[in-house]
Amino acid sequence: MKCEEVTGLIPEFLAGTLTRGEMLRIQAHTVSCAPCNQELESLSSTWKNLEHWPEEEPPEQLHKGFYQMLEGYQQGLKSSQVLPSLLDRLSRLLTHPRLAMPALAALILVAGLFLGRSMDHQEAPEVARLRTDLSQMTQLVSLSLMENTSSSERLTGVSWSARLEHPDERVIDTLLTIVGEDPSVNVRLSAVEALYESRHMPRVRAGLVRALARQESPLLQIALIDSLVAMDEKGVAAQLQELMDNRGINPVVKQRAQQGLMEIR
Amino acid sequence: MRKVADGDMTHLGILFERYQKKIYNYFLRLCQRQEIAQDLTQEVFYRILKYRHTYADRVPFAMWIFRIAHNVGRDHFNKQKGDQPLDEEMACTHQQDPLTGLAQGEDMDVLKQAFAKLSVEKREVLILSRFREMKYADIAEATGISVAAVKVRVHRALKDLRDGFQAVSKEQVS
Repeated sequence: MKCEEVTGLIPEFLAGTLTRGEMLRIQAHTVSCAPCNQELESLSSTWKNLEHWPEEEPPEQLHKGFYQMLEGYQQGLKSSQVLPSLLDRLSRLLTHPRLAMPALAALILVAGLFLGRSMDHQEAPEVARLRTDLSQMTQLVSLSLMENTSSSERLTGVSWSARLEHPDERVIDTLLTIVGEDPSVNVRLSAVEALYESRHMPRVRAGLVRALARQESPLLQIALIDSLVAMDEKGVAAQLQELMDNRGINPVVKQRAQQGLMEIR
Repeated sequence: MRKVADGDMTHLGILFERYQKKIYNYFLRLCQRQEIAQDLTQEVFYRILKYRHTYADRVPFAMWIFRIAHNVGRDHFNKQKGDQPLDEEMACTHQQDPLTGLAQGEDMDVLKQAFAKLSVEKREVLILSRFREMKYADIAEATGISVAAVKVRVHRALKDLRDGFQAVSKEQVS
């Protein structure tokens, strides 16, 4: 066996997945080859160290969240007669101050899946009403999540808002506030993406142009330029020109502003 | 899983009890952030529920669930891509826990730091190989790469971990 071959097989040797013959050949080689022996020793030590990294017990919240999701799903599957009670339940959960929002979001998602299935058939008036109720509830949940102190919750809220076919003014205002003020860049970026879905609204376009003027994060500047250019928003031209003239601006942003200006003209 | 795929949801609870700890610890080692590991584990079980009809009997459930976990992790890291230097709050990086650090000793803390410095792909194959004791063929199936690529990746990951461990140890001494 060549040295290269031996060292390549060390991880499998340590994992004990080689055949007996291969194991013996590696052992025979390392007895007579000092560098390979040293390599085996050091990698073996690292492999063994990993053994001491203990597994942790999952948090209780994971357990709760799963069973809430499962329960909601099972109820949704039973029949459309059960659906109003599911929605009642969601309404109650919505007003429950201590309930984890992700669990509630999962429940609404499940209800949405159920309603989505019913699209295949002629839509009954009660299904249409439930769809409206669900949309309103989705809106409320997304607003509530977007005001959460945890950035991952806010991120979920923003992605939920993007699912709304007709987000109301409160949702749009909250998303615009997030783009301008949220401490997390990820949340701000997601809000830009979510607002792109409502690009037909003049207030969204104007809000994004205003946000571009205030942004200092290059990532956000690029995302906003890309979105506004994709919307063919002519009102951003002056702002793009300003970015191009700014000597202290990130060169990638400057380049993107230049390209954007050419595209919308 | 066949029963779940056929609509018997009570069996999903059994699968959850059996796999939640494995999946949670897979993400915990990958990210070293409890709240993210919790969210991603929840997402795995949600996807199982959503895509249960796509389950094929020829694939062992253990492999199927880790394939889903791989996809959930990939989606998460793709979202983070490019943002990490700007947003440390959302990044999946090592955070020292003073309590566990003391309990497990300094070496474990150094090892975790070195582990966190590996690429996501390398961390993943090491977790599956070392902690889940999966065969290379199964890792290849779960991660969507060839067996040869798994072999090379595990080897490089182990070497990088060893080198990283030594480098972090030296940093702490000096």
